[in-house]
Amino acid sequence: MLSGDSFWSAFLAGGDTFVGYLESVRSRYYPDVPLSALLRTPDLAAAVAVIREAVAEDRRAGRIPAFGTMEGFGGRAEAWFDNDLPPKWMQYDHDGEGSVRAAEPPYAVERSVFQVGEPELDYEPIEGSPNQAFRVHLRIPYSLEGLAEKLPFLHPLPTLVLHEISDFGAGERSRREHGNGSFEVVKAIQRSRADLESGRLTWKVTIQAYGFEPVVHELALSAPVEITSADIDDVTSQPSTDVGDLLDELRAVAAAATAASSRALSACHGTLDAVSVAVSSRAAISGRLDAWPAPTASSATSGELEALLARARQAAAQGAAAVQALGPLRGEAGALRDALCASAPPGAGALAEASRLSGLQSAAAARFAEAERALAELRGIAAQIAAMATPPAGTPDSWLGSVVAALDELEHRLREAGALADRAAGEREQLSVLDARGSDLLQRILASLEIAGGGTFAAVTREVDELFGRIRSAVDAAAGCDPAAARAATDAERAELGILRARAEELRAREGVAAPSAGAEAAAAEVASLLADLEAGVAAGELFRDSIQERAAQSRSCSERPPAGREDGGAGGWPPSSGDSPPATDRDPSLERTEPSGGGSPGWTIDEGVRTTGSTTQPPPRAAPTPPAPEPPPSDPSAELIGAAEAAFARCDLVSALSLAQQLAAVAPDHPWLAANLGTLSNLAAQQRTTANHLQIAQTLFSSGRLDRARSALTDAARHAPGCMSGPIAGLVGEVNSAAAERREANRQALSQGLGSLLGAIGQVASAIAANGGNSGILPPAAAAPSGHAHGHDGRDLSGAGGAATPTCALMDINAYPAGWAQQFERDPTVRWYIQTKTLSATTFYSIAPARPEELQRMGQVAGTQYSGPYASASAAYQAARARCPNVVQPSR
Amino acid sequence: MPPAAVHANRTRLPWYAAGVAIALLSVASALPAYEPDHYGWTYYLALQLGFTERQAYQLASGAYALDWDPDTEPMGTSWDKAQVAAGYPPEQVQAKWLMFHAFTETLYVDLGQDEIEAAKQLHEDRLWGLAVREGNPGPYLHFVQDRFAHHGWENVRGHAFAGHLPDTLADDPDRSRRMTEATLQALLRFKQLLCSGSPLGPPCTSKKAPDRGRIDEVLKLLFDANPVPPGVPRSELIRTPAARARSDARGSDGRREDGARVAERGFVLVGVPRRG
Repeated sequence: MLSGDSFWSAFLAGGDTFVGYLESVRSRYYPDVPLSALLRTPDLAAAVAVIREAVAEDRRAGRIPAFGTMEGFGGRAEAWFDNDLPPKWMQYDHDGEGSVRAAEPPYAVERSVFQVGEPELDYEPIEGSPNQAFRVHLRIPYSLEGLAEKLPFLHPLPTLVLHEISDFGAGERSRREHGNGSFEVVKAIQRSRADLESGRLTWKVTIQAYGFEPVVHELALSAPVEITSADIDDVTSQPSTDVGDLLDELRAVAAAATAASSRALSACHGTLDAVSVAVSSRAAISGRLDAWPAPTASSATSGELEALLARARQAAAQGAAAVQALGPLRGEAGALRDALCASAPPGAGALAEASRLSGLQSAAAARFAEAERALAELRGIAAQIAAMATPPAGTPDSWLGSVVAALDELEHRLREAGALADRAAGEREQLSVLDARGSDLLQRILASLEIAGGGTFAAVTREVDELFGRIRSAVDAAAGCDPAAARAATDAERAELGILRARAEELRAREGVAAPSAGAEAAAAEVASLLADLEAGVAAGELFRDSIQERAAQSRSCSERPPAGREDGGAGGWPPSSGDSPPATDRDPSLERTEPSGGGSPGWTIDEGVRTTGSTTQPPPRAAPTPPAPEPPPSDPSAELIGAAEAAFARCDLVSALSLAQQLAAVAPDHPWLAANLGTLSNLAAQQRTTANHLQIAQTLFSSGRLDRARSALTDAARHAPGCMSGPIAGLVGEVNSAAAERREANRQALSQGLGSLLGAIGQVASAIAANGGNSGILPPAAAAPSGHAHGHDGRDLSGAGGAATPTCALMDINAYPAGWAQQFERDPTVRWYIQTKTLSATTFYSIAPARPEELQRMGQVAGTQYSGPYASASAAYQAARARCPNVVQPSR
Repeated sequence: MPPAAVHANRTRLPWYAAGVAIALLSVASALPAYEPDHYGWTYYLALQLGFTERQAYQLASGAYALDWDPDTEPMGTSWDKAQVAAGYPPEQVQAKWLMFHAFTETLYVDLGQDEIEAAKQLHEDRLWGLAVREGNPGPYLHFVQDRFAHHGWENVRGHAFAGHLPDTLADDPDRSRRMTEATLQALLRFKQLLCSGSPLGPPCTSKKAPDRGRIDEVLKLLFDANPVPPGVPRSELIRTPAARARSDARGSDGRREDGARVAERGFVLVGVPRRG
């Protein structure tokens, strides 16, 4: 058997010994699970490798932006930057709240923007070959903004530039690294006029910053206008020198028109694409909403509500009447009890009075049951009205949340699509301007040529025609997609989304999170008010009922008291005689007063648990309102007390024996008998009290049909009983065991009856002992109780009749976990709830949990959680729970 | 089940359980909760939503660094571990488990799932507020992910008795898929926050929906990269006797033992036999 000793021995030995110990544990309990399997940690490197390979594959497949896979780059750039997902994360410096303290490494997720401007071309004649060869300069500006500085990954940010010129094979590539700033691509090439005039020369430039989509510019190169005599059929005159400028401007207009057309088309098609996506997505969402269950009766008719309200009012009235009837019953019972207890000795009619008191108790119970029935009906009605106001949820709110989120996403896309359409419209406008400008330039160039001499400038005319044709083509192409129509489509689709959103919100409201209808809300409020009133009344009535029960019990105690002057009532046997230990309770302060003995006649008093009878009456520790009767001094008080204590010990009334011993200690603290016996008596009395608690619990459990638990409690009682009690209890345990083993659930009732008498006897013992303990004024020190055993948790007497009637909460500091507390409360039938408390940081958390199934069922409405922090709204539930649970016990440590 | 029943087990813990716990915790401290996946998987999912590599690196680091910072990491000092193993976790350790690692507040285990989830939601909402203020949802993502890994594990013993199983994606593929979807939604939420000012730049310029088919493929690769050893039951079966008793008779992957057989053979890590 594994034990603490062996664990610590192995632990202290360490090394292989400890590992061997763990292995022996594992093989003993988990033979098929190797310890190494449980201890195996997920491998970070393996996971990182999977992610890196997956990212690379996604780049190849175009699922995420590829860097350096532009045509002509192949996998070279991949080799440069084959460091997707660094093997080491950035370690941020968090504080206890999760905030990051240090500025480095950069924590806030960067919001980077990469922008590329419009390209510019400049033609420079090459010296020595004017008009025949040119150096063409290209300049493209770009910028990077928002990069987080000092990020230890891809910083400075790699940027690739690829130049592809149509008459030159492979592209030329360059790699740069940038932080935030403005930059430009500058490059020059040399080409002959013939090359430039061929019309087939294009210059494609691709710029990509790592992580961003590549930006591509493709430019058509052409020769600069240079009017020479060779170009002039009729050399009689030279064209205006303005022609060259006009032609340059026409080229720029043509290029701008082509670009504007391209952008307009792209934006317009982008808009339509977005609308198309939105339409299909909307259809799916609409289908989901259509599939939502048909609405239940989400609003009650006023007639139904009125009928329910009428029932609620009637139930509330009935409940209130029942609660009110409890008051007089309580008063009557109190008076009766006072009369019973004041009559010393009790009269012959005491039993009859006690019987009447019992009748009062029954009547009170009936009234209380009525009130509870009314309360239950009221709760049912409240639930019905609540259901009318907010039908039961069929689907989690998160479903609707996802629908609304999808609508939000579509809305966002459509807004952007609308912006695209606006941009396309702007480009179209710009195109119109360019078209007009191109026509104007055309006219001016032709006019200029005409003015210049009326000749034909073939090359210029060809180019002018071509340029103007490009402008017209751009305009025609742009006409293929109407931005206004695209914009209208986005607006229409947004309107459709609005309808869907309204439907979703309607469903959300219907499914329980929105406000109920006004009528149902008002009805619910009224019923809630009625319910609260009645609950308060029933709570107060419950106290009345408990009081009546207690008073009945107390009065019964009075009535069953033997006549004054009888030392021992003749009861004999075990349990101890009531003459020595009249049952009493300290629950009702009225019982603590000392009854007048009436001019020296023998009587009995109850005060602070010290009981005296007849001539053996001891002066009460506290002053009684009337002086005690003169008594003859005992010849040897010590000897009498010792004799009484030994007699009590012989009767197995250990609590009384201890009480007497303590009285002796007050009289003769140095008496050798005390030195020899007080410690033993104290321990034995504590055991007896513990045993009494177990017996009481066993009886309660047995009467509620929980045989197994009752048997367990009895077993515990036997285990911890002092020697003089262990025999009878062990015998009882044996009988219960054998009977329970023989009989099954079907004849449990018979078993209950058969064993009832036995348990009754033990229960009486327990009650008597407990009553003695309560009167002795001596509480068992928790430290002296056996560890893990049930006992009075905080000194409160759990075994009295009142203990079972008064709700008790077990208060648990969740951090402490004293060993054995669970068993303590499991075996304590008085514990109805657990109040758990825990403090984290500056917030104290409380929770209330019903400890018993019946309590869970009955008190479910108030069981809740109270938080001193953000859950303050639940405090009402906590307060209600706490109000029902005036006694709080804590587990012994 | 009343709290007493829950905690009765701990009172019966024999010493050997403490020994096992110490051993497990000692090793478990190396890499806590969804471990490499807080990092790698967050990185991958961020790329899928159009974040740049640098942004994804910040997000992934934010989601993972919590496990290594002394103020937020779940294990504490060696002495803390020893106290956890002994069933008396220090308050600051429990607080970290609640605030950042989505363990269940032991106080609420008997109040029902609603209370548990409400308490967790409080912490999650707080971390989202932190994400908004500080511009990085790392702790929020970590918590969202741990709500799956640590579902059902309370903040007294953590999941020491199941070793690293709950931290392994392959432990419960369905749970991991739900975690993935939750992570995507959390990242999308942050993306919308990031793009609320201006639509320029990534991830705002990317409107492509994540390819969930591809994501599932990669997730399976992660399962294979860190598989559950043959013969080891799902951590859920180790966690609760009730779950053990519910037979997982399907045995879909053929590697797992079904719950009935596990229970029958007495595979019990919690609720161990009485000390005798």
